[in-house]
Amino acid sequence: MNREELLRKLSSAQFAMWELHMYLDTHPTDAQAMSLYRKYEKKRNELKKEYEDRYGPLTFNASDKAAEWLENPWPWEAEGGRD
Amino acid sequence: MWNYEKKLQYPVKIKNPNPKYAQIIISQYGGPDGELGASLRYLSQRYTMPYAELKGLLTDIGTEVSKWHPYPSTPHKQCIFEFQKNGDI
Repeated sequence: MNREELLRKLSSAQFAMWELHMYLDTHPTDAQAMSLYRKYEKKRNELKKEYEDRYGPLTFNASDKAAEWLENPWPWEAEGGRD
Repeated sequence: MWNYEKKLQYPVKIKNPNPKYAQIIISQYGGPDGELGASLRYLSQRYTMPYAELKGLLTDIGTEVSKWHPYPSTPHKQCIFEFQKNGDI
């Protein structure tokens, strides 16, 4: 899986989590939706770790080196946006 | 509280930079019906919302709209970069 594919998979898991999160705001006792949320959360964690191991930190605290977080490209820069 | 991830939710790539279109895009960011205003409206409305579910929902929708702020600015940045490269601005 290349960088773009991995990022797409990660974003898909996050998208599913986010939609379930908003559904759970108005259906807070729906256990099936909650377990689905946990399923995608687990998937997100695995993909996030794989992405960060290969391509650098997605959040500041995901790395021990502050310089690594500052490395280009940022998402609004040509290469970052194309990922 | 805001947690930032160094990526876009969806990739953006401008094939043909267009200054007129860039103007429309930047107004989608900070203009009268832009994402910036929309996100702040949701996030402000939640303070007077009496129902817990809807306080949660307004918080989340306001957060969701905030996530879209990079979308107008990313193509805008890419357009500016292309114009600079071509010596147009």
